[in-house]
Amino acid sequence: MSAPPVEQMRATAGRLRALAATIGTSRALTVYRRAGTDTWIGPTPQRCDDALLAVRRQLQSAQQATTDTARRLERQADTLQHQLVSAGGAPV
Amino acid sequence: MTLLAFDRPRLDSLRLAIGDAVEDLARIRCDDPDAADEMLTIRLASRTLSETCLPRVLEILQSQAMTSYHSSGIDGCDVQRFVYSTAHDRGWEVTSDPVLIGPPAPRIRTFDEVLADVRSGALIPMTAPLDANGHAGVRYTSLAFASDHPQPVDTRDVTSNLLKFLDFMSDGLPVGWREHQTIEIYYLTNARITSAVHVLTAYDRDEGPETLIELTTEASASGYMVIRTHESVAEVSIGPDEQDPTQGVTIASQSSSAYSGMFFPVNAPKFKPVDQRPRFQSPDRWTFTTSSAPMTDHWGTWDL
Repeated sequence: MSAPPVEQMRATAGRLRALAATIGTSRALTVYRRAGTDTWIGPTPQRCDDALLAVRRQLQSAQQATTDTARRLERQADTLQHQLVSAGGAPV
Repeated sequence: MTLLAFDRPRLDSLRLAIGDAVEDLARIRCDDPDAADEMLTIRLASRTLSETCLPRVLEILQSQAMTSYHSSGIDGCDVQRFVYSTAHDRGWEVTSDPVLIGPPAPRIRTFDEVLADVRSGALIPMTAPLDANGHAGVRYTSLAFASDHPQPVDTRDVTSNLLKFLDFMSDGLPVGWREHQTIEIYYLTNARITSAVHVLTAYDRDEGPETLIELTTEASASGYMVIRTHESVAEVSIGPDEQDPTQGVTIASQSSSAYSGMFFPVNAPKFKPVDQRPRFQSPDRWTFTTSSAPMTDHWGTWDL
């Protein structure tokens, strides 16, 4: 199986970093601030607050996972490019 | 009753914020296979916001907030005490907690299942109201039921064949008699049941008898309300109608309607004295006595 071209890996990493950035600026991460005991109190409000915090955690995890994948791809691209240069080939 | 308290302006702000968040998540697009799991997470988060949180917020904002409430009507747990005191201290609105509370809703029986359980004794009717047995000055009770959303189970026509035959034969005759009997079953969730005490005296049938409020008690219970409605119409008609020769022209008509019924609770109601302070409450839908005839207009008889 041939390694993916370095440029393709960098492009994918770039898209993933853009995705992570978009997730990071989503207002879904901050909506929980409008809730809480300053807004409402009771069993249903508590469950909704918990759901809003769970959404925040899930999105933060997705953002982190996307960033990690992008970083891994960039490292692989760097390594591949270094190997290609060392082997005397032209940069891909 | 489980309460929740809320600050309306802040809750409306939360409603807008959830809408913005859903909008943001809907705009996120990435077809890259490396981001498949993350995109699934985003879709699930969006669904949680739009299908769980937002409906709850809207439901509370659209609910009829209580204009006042009293401590005897709330659960004794610490959370409810905290809700009560916080709402009072902050001047917040209070409403009953709409959903997600308590055990899952019971499966509602079908019409035939209710009747079968009534006959077998699996469903036991509430204790009948006390009857004055026609003695003036003697106390009797009435049972009134109020429910925000009575859920109809089904309605069946139970008019006897003889009455249907009479109805059929009345067509074209100068004197006609029509009777119609139905049985309706409703499932009431957390219905308010008021047991009022009255004294048998003369009273206005429209106003109803005077209630001894200090002896009145109320409870909350879920269960099946079985109502038998009896409607009858007597008509006197002459000659064939010009438009329809098979029909006569009605010159006199007298109709009457009455109902009887019983409530079969699925959980035993615990009656407590009525708090007389003003508060928001739904109007009574059915009121029963054990008299052979309704004590006042729009009251029914506790009987099936």
